Amino acid sequence: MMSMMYEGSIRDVGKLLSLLSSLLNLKVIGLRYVNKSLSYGELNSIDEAPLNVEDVQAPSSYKLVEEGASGRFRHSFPSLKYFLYPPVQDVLYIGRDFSSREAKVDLGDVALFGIKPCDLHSMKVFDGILMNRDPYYTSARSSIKIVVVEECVKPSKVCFCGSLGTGPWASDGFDVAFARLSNSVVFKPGSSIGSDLLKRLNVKRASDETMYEYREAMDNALKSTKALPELTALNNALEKSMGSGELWTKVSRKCVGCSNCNMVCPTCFCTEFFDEVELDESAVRLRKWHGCLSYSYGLVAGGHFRPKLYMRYRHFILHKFLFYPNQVGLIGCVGCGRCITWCPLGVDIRETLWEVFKSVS
Amino acid sequence: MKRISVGVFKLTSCSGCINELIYALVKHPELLKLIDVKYFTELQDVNALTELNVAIVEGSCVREEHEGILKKIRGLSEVLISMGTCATLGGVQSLRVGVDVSEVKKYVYLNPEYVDAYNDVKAVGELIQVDLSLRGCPVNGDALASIIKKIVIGGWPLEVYESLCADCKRAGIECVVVAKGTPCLGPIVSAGCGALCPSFGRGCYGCYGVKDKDLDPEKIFEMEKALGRLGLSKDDFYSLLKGYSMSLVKSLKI
Ligand code: SF4
Ligand code: SF4
Ligand code: SF4
Ligand code: SF4
Repeated sequence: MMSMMYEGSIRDVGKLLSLLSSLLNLKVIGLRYVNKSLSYGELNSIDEAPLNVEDVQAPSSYKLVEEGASGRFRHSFPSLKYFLYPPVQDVLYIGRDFSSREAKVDLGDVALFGIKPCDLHSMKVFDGILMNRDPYYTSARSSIKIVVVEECVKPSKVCFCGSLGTGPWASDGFDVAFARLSNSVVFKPGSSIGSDLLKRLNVKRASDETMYEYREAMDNALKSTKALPELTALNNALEKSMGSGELWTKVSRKCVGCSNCNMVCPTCFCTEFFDEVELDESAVRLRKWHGCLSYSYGLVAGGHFRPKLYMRYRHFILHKFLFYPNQVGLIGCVGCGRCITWCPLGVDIRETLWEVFKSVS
Repeated sequence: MKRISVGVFKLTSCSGCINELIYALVKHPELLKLIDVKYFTELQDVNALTELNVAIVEGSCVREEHEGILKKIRGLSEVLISMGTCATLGGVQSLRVGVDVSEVKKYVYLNPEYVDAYNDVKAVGELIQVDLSLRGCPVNGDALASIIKKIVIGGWPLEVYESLCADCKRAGIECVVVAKGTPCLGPIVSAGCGALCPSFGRGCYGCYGVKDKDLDPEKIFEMEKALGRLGLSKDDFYSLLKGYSMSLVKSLKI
C-alpha cells in the first residue's frame, strides 16, 4: 500500500535534518562530504550532505564528480557497518585475576540521515543475525531512533537492488523517505513519527504530475537495477553447483582473496578476536572484521575447512544467497554493488551468478 | 616472572629491523627487565653464544659461512624468529639473483674480491626451521613489542593470514586502485604494516612480501594483468616481487 506522499523542495530536506536535532534532540549521522572527502559522521547541516556530487561507479572503478554531477549520490565504500559494527572494537577488559568487564557501547540517541534503501535493508539482515545476540551491535542499533532514507531516482552502474527487492525505493523500516525529482522533492512517511515530522515541514500533498514523475522515475530505476536471473531458479542453480569445484574455480579465477569484498559488504559480519596483553598480565580482548576470502577464515586447530581460495569465494556467494535465508529468512545480498566497485581485480558478483546459472541450468 | 634469554643475530641486511627492535625496547623499557640479552652486538659489547630461549635473526643468507652460523643458532635456541623481510623472504638483495654475483659486485665495490657472497640469496626458512616469521621492511615495532610481551609471559601470538587490503579497509582508507587508478600490490601482499602507503594515497610496493598461503602462479598473473592495465609494467611488477618475496618467487616458480 502506498502511503500519502508530499512534495516540497530541497530546503525542506534541510529543514527535516534540522528538526531531527532541534526538535528531537538526536545526533544526525550520515555520509558527510566535507573538504572533498566523504565519510560517516555527524551532519551539522544539509550543506554537509553529499547532495551535489555524483559517484561514478563501475567494476573496479570509482570517481566522485562535482562538475556536471546530476546530484544523484548513491554510496561509497563505507557502509553503515562502520558505524554500527566498527572495524575494530573492544569487547572485554580482563584483569590479571581473570576477572572481566564487558566493554560498553554508548552512541547516544541517533538519527540516520540519507541512507539508501539497500543500506536500510542491510540493517534488517544485520538485525536478524545480531540483534539481541551481539550486545555491542544491539546497543549501537538501539541508539538509532529515526531513519531517513533517500530513494534512488538514478541508480549507478553497479546497483542491482531491483533483482532482490531491496531498492530502489524503501518499503518499510524507516520514518521518512524522500526522492529528489527534477524540480521537486517527494516525501513519504514510514511511521507515525515520520508523519508528524512531515507535518512540520512546508510540504503539500504531491500533485498528480509529481506522482507521475516519481512513479516513472522509480519504474526506470527498478528496470535498470534488475541484473540477476530469476531468484528461485538462481537459488536452485546455486544449490546444484555446490559440489562442482571445477565450476567454482572457473568463476573465481580472477579472485586473489584480498577480502575487500567482505570489508565493503554491508552484510558481512565475521570477526576475529585478539588479546592485547600487558606485562602485568591484564588484557584487552578486541575483535576485528575478518573476511571469509582470507586464508585464516576456516583455519582451525588441526586443519582448515576451506583451504582453497575457490571454496572461500564460493562460501561468500552461497552464504549470501543460500545460507542467510535459512539463518534469518532474508537473502544476505542487498544488491548494493559495493563488492563489484571495490574489488581491485574487477570480480563482478552479477557475472558470477550468471555464469553459475548458465552452466548449471 | 622468569627472565628469558635472548640472542639477536644479523646476516645480510640493512639493520633497519634491528633499529626497530631497539626502538621497541626503548619505548617499553620494562621489557628489558624481563629479558636476559646474551647476544646482541648492536646493543652491548660483551656477547656470548650460548643456549637461548629465543633467537631473533635479521637478514638473509648470502654465503656458506651464514649457513653454518644459522645451523649453530638453531641448535642453541628453543624458539627461533626470523625478523623482517630479508630473513623471512630474502629481501632487496635478492634483486641480484639470476645475475652472476661477481659482475654485480663490480658495480658497487672498489675491491670486489673482499666481498664474499654466492649467487643465491636464501631466506632463513630455506635452511633451518623457523618458529615465527615476522615480515616487513622494516618490521612493525609495535607488533614486535607485543610479541615479545606475549612470549615473556608464556604466550604466543595469533598468526592471521590476510591481505593488506583488510588492514586498509578496516582503517577506512579509500582504495587507490579503484579511486585513483594507482597500482597497488595490496591484494596479494600480507597485512601487517597497517596500510601505511595507501594511507598516504600511494600504492603498496609489497615490502611485507606476497601472501604465502593462498596464491598460485595464475593468481599472481591475474594481479599482474590488473596492475598492467593501470600502467605498471611486467618488469616492474616482477622486480617488486623479487625484491621483497624472493623465497616465494622460488617456491611458486613465477
Ligand atoms: S572477489 Fe575481489 S575483492 Fe573479493 S577477495 Fe576476490 S579479489 Fe578481493
Ligand atoms: S554481496 Fe556485494 S552487492 Fe551484495 S550486499 Fe554485499 S557488497 Fe552489496
Ligand atoms: S543498490 Fe539500489 S538502493 Fe542501493 S544505491 Fe543502488 S539504486 Fe539505490
Ligand atoms: S589501496 Fe591497495 S591495499 Fe588498500 S584496498 Fe586498495 S589495493 Fe588494497
